Amino acid sequence: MTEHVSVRMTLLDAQIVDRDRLPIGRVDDLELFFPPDGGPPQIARVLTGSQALGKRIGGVIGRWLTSMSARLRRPGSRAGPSTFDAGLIADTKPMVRLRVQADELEGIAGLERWLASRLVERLPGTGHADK
Amino acid sequence: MSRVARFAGAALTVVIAGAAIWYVSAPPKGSDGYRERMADATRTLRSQVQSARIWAATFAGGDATSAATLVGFEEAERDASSAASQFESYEPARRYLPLRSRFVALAADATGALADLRIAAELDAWGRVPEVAGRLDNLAASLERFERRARR
Amino acid sequence: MNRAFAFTLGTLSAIGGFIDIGDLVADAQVGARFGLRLAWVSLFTVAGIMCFSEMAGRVALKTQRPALALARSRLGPRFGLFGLIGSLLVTALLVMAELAGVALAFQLATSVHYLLWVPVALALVLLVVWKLPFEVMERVYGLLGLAMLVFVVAVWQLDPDWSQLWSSATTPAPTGRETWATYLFFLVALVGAQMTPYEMFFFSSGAVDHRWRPKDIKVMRANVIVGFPLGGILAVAIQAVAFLVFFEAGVRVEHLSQTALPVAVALGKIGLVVAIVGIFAATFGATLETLFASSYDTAQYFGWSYGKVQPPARAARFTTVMLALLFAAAALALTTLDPITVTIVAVVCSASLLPFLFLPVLLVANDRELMGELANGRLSNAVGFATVTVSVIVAALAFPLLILTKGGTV
Repeated sequence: MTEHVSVRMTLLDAQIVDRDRLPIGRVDDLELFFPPDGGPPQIARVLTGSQALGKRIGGVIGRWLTSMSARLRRPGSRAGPSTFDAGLIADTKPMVRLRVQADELEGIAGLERWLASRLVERLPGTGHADK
Repeated sequence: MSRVARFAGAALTVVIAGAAIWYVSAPPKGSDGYRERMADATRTLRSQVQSARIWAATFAGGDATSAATLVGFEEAERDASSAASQFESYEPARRYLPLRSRFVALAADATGALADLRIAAELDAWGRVPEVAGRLDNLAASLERFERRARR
Repeated sequence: MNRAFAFTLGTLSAIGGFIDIGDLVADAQVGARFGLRLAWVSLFTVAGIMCFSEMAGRVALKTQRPALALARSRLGPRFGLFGLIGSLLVTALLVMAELAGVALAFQLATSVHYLLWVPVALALVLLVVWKLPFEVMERVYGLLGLAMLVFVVAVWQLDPDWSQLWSSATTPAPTGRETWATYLFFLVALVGAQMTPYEMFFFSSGAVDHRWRPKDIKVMRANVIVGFPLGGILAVAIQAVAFLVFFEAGVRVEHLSQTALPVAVALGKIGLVVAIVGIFAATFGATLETLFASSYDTAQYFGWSYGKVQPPARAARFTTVMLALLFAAAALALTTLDPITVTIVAVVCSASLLPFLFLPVLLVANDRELMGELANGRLSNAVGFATVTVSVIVAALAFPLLILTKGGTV
């Protein structure tokens, strides 16, 4: 690809949805891979979640976001920000759509699952609250 | 450098916030300030007296429910007494002592009349309401005169 | 859905969204103290909120996503985070004030102290959030909100001297007994009360939830054109009745009960009851709208799943944010903080946030790549730019005036 594409405009901060269009998170940062032969850098992994976002925002609020989010992660998951392989991306327009379902992604949107199982599903009436 | 700047910024914010809170809640300064607060407190009393008078008149005309009227009386009484007691806690200059005692007497009349209204309403003695409310007209007029005097 | 029906609903939600506790308090205060001398502000706020709601609605039609969700990709995460944190703080205050407003409406109906009604109001909000679908919710409080029209009827019933009203409305200056500082302070308060950004987001999120498409643009615009001006007329009517009943007597409005009193004077018990129903509907609807708008904003900023569209268990983070906000607001209401003071502080804070919430929408609606033929035209940009400029000035004046006038109590 020789055409110039700004990752900042097209990919960074974009909404991520799964195969069924369920929102998962945002592209909070990207991990690049520099080929040893000196070719153009490629996107290796997509970072998503407040831990990665906090690092990008920086400052007091950013640090607070990062540490809060790191502490909330379930024990056993890796210490770094949650990521997934860039190869899972099926489409980037109008938003980043993945080939898989949200539940198949290890370590992504952990808070969502934790809150769902520990809090929201235990509240009365959750099962049939809406159509 | 940026650490110093950040510290200075934080310190400035705290100072401004403190100054703002002080400005909003400080007791009056000087004799002008005292007079002005007296006029403001009188205006509040008059506002509550008039509000209660309108509630009473509306109720008497069969136009307001007793529940809403009682709420109106309660609020007028509560606001009037808190405005009066707050002002009375300020320390006056010696030469304002006579003016202050006139205020205290007026405020006592006003809160007393408002309490009578509220009690009549609470006891369901609505027949007494017009009689008590009759005092409010004169009270409002005296408060208005007194406010003008204090504001002069 | 039937088009005519969709139109009615959207209009109702625009009226309902326009009038909330901020208007009920600020408009009545302004009317009692300044007559109609600040009524012209509503011309500006109605034009501004119409322009931005139409823009946000257009973005939603074209992209099926609310405008703020797209703003992060354009302005970066920092700008959005600032607006988000600010609006969450203001929302906590606003939801507290709206909940207290619901409780105060119950108090007016029963004379039982409002603090006892706060838990009831909370339970009612939870029940509606949990059990009612979006559309039913919108419909019910939209219809109940029509009760607010009683304020307009009351203006006529009070048989005013119209030339006096007109001369008051055409005198943009404080009355003899007020200062310019308080005049400007209440100008800021009116802008904050009438141009609440959640109206815009709720309107666009509603468009997303209704799955409106570009062909629905006429219905969307008709809603904007009818709904918001009606809301503005209601706001001026609240000012007018407070003016007619309170100004001469020197009454300053400090309670929600005093907002309702002029209607009783004009229309008797039935009018009073209708006004209480209207106050209940307006504050209850606004509780839901503010709550949803902030939770939507949060979810969209972080890219979480959200909404009445996803069942709660599929939008756990969204649901948690909403519950946390609601309980924080209820706790705040139970601290016996005066809800009227909180309302005034909240509308002033809200006014100071306007530029941060308007600017992203203006930018997104101008993005031709994204919006194609539905991008902003000249009219939208002119009105939008003017609104942003004025809102920047209002935002800069908001806090100094709040302190200087001691919240308008001087």
